[in-house]
Amino acid sequence: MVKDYEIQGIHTIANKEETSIVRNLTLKVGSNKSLSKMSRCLDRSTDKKTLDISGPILNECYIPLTLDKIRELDRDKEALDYYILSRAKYLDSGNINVLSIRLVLKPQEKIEKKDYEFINSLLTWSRNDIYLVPTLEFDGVIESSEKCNIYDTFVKQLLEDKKTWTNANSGIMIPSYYPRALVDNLFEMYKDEGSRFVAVDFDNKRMDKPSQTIGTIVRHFNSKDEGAFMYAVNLKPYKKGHTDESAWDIYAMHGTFNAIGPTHPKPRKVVLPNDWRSAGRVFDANNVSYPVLDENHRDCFFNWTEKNYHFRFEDDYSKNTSGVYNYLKRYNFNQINLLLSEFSKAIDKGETEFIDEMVAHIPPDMANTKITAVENTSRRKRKRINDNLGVI
Amino acid sequence: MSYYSKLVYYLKIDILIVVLLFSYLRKYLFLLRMQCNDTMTASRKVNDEFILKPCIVSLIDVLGSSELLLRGIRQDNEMYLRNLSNMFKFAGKYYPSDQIKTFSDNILIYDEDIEDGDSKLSKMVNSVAQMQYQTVCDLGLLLRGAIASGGLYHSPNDSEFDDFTIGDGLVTAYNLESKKAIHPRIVMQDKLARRFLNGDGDDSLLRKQGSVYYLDYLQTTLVDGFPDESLLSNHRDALIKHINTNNAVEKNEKWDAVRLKDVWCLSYHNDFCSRYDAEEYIIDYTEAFDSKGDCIEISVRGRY
Amino acid sequence: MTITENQMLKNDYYELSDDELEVLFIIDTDPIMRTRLQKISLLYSKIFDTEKESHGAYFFGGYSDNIDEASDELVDKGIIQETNQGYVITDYGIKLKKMLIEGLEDSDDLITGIANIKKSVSELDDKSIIGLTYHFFEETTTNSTIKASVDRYNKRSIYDGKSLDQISLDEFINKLKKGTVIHRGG
Repeated sequence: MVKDYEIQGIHTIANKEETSIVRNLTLKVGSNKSLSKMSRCLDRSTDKKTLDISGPILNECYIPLTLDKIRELDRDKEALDYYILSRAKYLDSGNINVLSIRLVLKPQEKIEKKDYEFINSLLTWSRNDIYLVPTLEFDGVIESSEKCNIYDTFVKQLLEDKKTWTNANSGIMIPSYYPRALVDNLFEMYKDEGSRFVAVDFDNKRMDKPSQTIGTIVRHFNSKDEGAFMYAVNLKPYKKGHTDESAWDIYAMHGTFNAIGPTHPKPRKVVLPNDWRSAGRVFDANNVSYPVLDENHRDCFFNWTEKNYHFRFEDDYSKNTSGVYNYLKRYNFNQINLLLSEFSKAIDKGETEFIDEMVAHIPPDMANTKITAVENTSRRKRKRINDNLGVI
Repeated sequence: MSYYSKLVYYLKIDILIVVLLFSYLRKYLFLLRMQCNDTMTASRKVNDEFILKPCIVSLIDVLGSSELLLRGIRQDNEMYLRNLSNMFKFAGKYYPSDQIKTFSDNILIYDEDIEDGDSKLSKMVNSVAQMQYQTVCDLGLLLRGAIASGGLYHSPNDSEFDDFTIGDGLVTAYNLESKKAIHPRIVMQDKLARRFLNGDGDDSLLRKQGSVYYLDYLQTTLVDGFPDESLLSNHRDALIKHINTNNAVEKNEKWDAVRLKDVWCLSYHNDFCSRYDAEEYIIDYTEAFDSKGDCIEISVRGRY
Repeated sequence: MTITENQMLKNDYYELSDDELEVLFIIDTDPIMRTRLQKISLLYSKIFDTEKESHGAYFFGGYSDNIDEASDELVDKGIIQETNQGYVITDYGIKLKKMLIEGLEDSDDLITGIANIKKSVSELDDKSIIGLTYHFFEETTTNSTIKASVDRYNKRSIYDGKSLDQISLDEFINKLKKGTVIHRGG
């Protein structure tokens, strides 16, 4: 059952230029679950072994839904159980479970009272720990102002109905299309909720606009002198096809995030070469980067797999089965969580040397970008416009 | 045994009994919690309904199975079974297991054909084309099949009869596969093909030969209209290996049927290479009587 | 508080990043496929943004993750839409573009520069544009899985009566800068 959560023990360290503001805190849920370190959430490839190595973390249970699917599952309890449990793993392993629902609406579709009931029953499910408001996505072309208005209505109604289901404080979800200038609008709707868990949906893009939404959120909570647990949903970890191998997901920690979720990429028809280049990128904790699995970077991964799973991959990629990708994801999950654990300890103890090393690995494109900047000064200049949208 | 030793001995047994009891109790409580507390909503359980749901159905047959199995060579059987198992795993990359049924050397893949079914149709065509390419290249197996739409019933996971699947969609696919496909290709029902071509799918994946639409699976090797030559090269090598393997077996009365299938594959591959200016990957082959003059064999010479 | 279209226009007018602006000025009412968008963006960066290494060598030649993300962002904001024929600007996008044409400062390279590049390659199909980028910017093709195919295609290609070996990089870039239409063949 969802419970009240609270934030405790906030330690913040910002560098002089404010290009990095790192925070560690304790997220306490109910009386028996807490998380005191930064973490990378588990994903579909995570198995018990890698989870045990990493210790308790935030467990994002990503549930994609449509209204048709909601109505179908509402009629069939067994199908519902199967649908949810096949997407939510390790619910009893001491992690903080968060159901992260993505509801896709078709044009002209309306969410009805029964649908709100269903969503609330799902969010207050016995195995869910934090009531996180879902994000809405839209199939087809729709004006962005309409998207935001529909989302505002959805949030208001859901939180209104929530009162009959639970008193636990909710988590705020900021959809990827919500404009920076209007995010305070969204916060206003949560003013009675005591919300300090903020999920930002990056919709499988990188975090590279700290002057916009992230900066607004940080300034909002800093101005109230409260901390917030910030969680990055569907954040892309690195740039494809580029010499810059920086870990853009770790950069999110410099923007005050406390947890990063797995990616949920959009399906694209891509023909990949039948060699190690298509296996995915490996996380290199020493350089905080994602290099390609070339000869120089394979040994660590091979050794780890051999130690933990008692088999060794073949150097010739084509001789391996299709399991390479899943093992690589497990390896990355493990390495990232180990690094984040060290990072968290360094923040708690004020070990600036470690933090400075991490700052040195901020992606070069972002190295001079202030996290709380109001305006991104590197952009092309524009003339001012008045309220009637005329150029002044 | 001294008094102290006895005490320790019996204490150890007591501790062991307590630990065992505790672990059973924990398991029982866990199962009880799963059953009682694991309710998402207060919805009533729906009665089982035997209804044919509209589905897009792909029925695929692996060619050459009966000849190989009847030859009874153990090593060949083992490799074949392993390859078949891997082929089923390929399907698992695209569809969840409850949408895949396997029986003997057949695989059935289905997806519900909902109102906005074009993306599902597109996904089915793309997935089956990729699977066909992969099966030829990685496993050396030729496929023949059909994609059709129609009603399908499949038993739920916990029903008494597992894998109970039937419907007019399946019957249509079966008829197409057995009567129209003929060659190692995956054909498509006419009305479904027209729907696919009028919809949002990638038109180039379907080709028409006479009155029959079939999957042009080598399109999956193209990137922006250019062939990925390593993928084309893999396909060439796999076909050459397949034909040389067939040449090495003892010929029986079914040999001509086998040979015709192989020739079709070679022709298809070469035609694709010509269409996309990849003449370097055309397979040079001839058909001639073998040395004993008993049957016609295919000789492949690799590069054109 | 109901959010109005004017509020969104004002927000997007100020907020669009440079990459998003670039994508917005490449995309128009005629659909443009993802690959073509990437290649035109590559040409733009080679002419006007030479200091920034915006495009890396991907499996399909020159590719910019920034441009990919920028186009996703614009789709998200309803400024462009993605169809099976490619990206197309929406009515909202047209309004925004008009405001930006009036409001952007020192952006001749963006507005006129991109328009000239687009005009220059307007008669060429996607394969030809890919071929040209592979020929003139070989450094972006080192990881390409189709390099051999494209090279073979380029050997047979004639543009304005000349083979690719007879066209210098300067000549090619000048045509793009001036908006001189390039024709495939004689």
